[in-house]
Amino acid sequence: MRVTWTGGELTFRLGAEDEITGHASDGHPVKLATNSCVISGAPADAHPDLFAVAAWTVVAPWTRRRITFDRAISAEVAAALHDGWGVEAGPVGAEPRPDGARLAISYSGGADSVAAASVYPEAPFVHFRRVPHRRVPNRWPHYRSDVLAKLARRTGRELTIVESDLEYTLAEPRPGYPEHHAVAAGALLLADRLDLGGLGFGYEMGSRWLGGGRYLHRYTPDNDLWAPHGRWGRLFASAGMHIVLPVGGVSEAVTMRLALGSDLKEHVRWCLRGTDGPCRECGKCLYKELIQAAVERRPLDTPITADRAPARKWFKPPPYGGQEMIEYGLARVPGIEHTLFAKTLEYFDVSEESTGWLDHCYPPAIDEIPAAWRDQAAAFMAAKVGFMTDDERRRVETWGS
Amino acid sequence: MMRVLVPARLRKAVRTWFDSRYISIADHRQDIRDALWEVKTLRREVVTLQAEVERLRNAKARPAGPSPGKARIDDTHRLAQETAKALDGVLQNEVLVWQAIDDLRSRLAPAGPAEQGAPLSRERPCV
Repeated sequence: MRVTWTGGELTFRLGAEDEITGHASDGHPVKLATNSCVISGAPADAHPDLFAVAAWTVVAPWTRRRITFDRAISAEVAAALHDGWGVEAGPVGAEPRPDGARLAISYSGGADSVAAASVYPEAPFVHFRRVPHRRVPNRWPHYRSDVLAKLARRTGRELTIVESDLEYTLAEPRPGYPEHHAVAAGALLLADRLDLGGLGFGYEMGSRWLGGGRYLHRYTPDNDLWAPHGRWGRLFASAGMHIVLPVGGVSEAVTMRLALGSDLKEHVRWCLRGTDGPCRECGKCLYKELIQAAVERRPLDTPITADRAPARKWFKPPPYGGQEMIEYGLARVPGIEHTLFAKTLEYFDVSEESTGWLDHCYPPAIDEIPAAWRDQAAAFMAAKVGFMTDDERRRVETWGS
Repeated sequence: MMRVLVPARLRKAVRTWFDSRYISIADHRQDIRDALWEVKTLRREVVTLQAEVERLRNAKARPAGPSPGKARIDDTHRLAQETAKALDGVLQNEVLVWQAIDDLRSRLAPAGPAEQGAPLSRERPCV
C-alpha cells in the first residue's frame, strides 16, 4: 500500500499483495469502491504521524503486509502498526508527536455523543460531515448530513466541521467508514492546530464492553476498536491522540437520559434521514424510540407497524446488536406486549430488576480514561449516574457467556 | 325668520355666483355615465385577467412538452441504475489496473521510486 496526501486529498495505491476486499476491525466484510478521498481543512504542516494515522483509518482493510507513506513517520507509529496489524510501515524518521493538551468531542449530534459532550461542557466539537464523492454516483441522497451539521452549529460550542467523501471509498456493504475510526480522520489532521491530546467518542458500554452492534455479543475487555490497550487505542496514542470514551461505562438508556436532560437536548438527532425532526420511520428511530419510551416510562409511540421492514428484525430470535437495550425496553415500556415487540418479548424473561444494572456506570470505563480527563468524568458519573455494585459489574463481565 | 328685501339685480348676481360654483345637473349626468363606462371597462379587464390567470395555472400544472410515458421514465431509471453500477465496476477496475501497473514498475526497477515512498503520479484517466 502506498499513500499520498496532496493537501487534503488522500490517494492510495494497492501493493501486489493488497486486495479490494477485506474486513473492518469489527470483523465485517467490506469491499473497496475507489482509491481517493478528500478531507477538508487539513493543515499542510500537520505532524506526519497524524497524516499517517488518518490515512490508516481509510486504508487498513485493504492493506496486507506493507504500507509506504509519502513522509517519514515516527518509530512509535510504525511499531503500533506492526504490533497491531503485522504491517511494515515506513519510511521511519520523524520525532513522535507530543500529546496535545486538550480533549475534543467527535460530535455526531446523536444521543450518545451529546451525552459524551455533557461530561465535558468546555470541550470543543469536531463534526464529520459526509459530502458526495466527485467520482462515485450518489445513490444515497436521503442521508441529510447538512441537517446534522446545522444542528451542530446551533449548539454554541467551539466547532470545527470536517467535510469528507471518505465514506464513498467503501462499496460494500454501502458507503460508510472503512473503519469506524475514520470518523476521526479530520480531527486527527487538525490535532496540532487545536492542540488535541484526546478525542472523545460517544461509544457507550454496549460498544465498548458488551461486543454490541456488529461485533461479538460478549464481554470484550480487550476490545480492539475502543480499548486504550487495543490496537487502535495504541495507534492513536502513538500519535499523541488518545481515544477517550466519556460514556463508555454507561448504557444507551443512560446516554439517552443524559442527552434529554442536557442543555444540548434541542439539538439531539440520531436519525440521518429526517429534516425537521427524526423521520420516525427507519430502523434506528424504532430502536431509539424503544429506549426513549423506556427512559420516559411511557407507551411506545411509533408509526411503524408489524408488517413493515424495520419491524421484521424483531420477529427473529436473538442475538441482536444492542440486545441489552432491547431487554431494558421490554422490561420497562408499558403495554409493550401490545406492540410490534410482542413476539420479541417471547424470547426473553426480563424484569426491571434483571436490567437495573443498565442504569449505572461500569467503573473500569472511568479507570481507562487518561489521567488528564479522568476525574471530571468520575465526578460527573458519581453525581449524575451512580456506579455499579459488584453484582451489577458481574452482569457486565458475564455478558454473552 | 326675518325677510329682507333684496334688489332683483343683486339677487341674480348672487345666484349666478352660486351657480358658477356648482356643476350643472347635465354635467353630473355625463359624469355618472362616464363612471359607469369606466366600471364596465374595468369589469371586462378583470374577466380577461381572470381567464389569463386560469390559463397560466393550467399551463403550470401541465409540463411544457409532451409528458414522457411511464415506460420512458422506468427506462431512464433502469439506465441510471445500470450506469451507476457499471461505474462502480470501472472504478474498482481502475484500482486493480494501477495495482498491476505499479507491480510491473517495481519489477522493472526494484529500487525505483515506488519502493522509496515517492509521491504517486497524478496521472488519472478521468476525474
